[in-house]
Amino acid sequence: MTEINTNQIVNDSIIVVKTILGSRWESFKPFAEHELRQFSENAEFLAKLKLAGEINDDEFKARLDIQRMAFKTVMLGIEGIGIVTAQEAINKVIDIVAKAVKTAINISLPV
Amino acid sequence: MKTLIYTLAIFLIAGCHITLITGYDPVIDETTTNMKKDFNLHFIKLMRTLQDEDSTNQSFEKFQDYYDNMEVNLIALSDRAKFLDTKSTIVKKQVILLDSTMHVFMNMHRNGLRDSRIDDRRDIKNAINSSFDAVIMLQEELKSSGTIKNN
Repeated sequence: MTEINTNQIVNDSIIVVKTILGSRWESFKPFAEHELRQFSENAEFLAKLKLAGEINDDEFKARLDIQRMAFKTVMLGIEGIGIVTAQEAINKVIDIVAKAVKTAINISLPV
Repeated sequence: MKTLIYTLAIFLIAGCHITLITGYDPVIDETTTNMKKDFNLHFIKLMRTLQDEDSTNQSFEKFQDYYDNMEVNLIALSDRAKFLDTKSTIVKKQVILLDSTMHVFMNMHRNGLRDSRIDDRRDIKNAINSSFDAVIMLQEELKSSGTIKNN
């Protein structure tokens, strides 16, 4: 069996997740790194079980399905957090511009 | 052109905020948190039966209560997700995936799990916990961004 390069997989995945999370990367770094590492290790563990004949084809397939769907769920979570971040940034800009416009035309409206 | 500028000015002056994503639901948040706890308790009990010499104590029937409760919780999640608005696609997809993941796990148990001291099924435990965590984490983010006005 060719060794799975867990570190390489994790490092490549981190680059993608970092781009999605942008400015929030530091806050979610421990979660993202932990999850990505775990999925790589799970895949390696499953491959070893299959090669050792510990699990049959059906169980191997079912357990890979669980990994695949869980990974998607995690990536969706990361994508969602990325969108929340973008939403907050846009609204902060709107607040700044609104304040500037209000000051310029000298009116007061509730925000 | 003037109309566009006035519209933009009104929009900015009124402090309208943009909503790109929604989907916080206290029931989804709480149910998922409870499901995570139930799953881990179930997994500990199940693993105990898979790492002994008795090949009958892990039968699906002996764990039926857990799966019945799990089904009830998944129905609750799906029902709540159904009524979320159109900007909640990500949360809806997460709920569908969680439902499928738990059903694969249940069917695997129904089809029979054999005793093994080598295979501690850590991949299953890790992946399912990751699914729960991802749903809960996004719910928490959406909850804290809920202070933004929806327009």
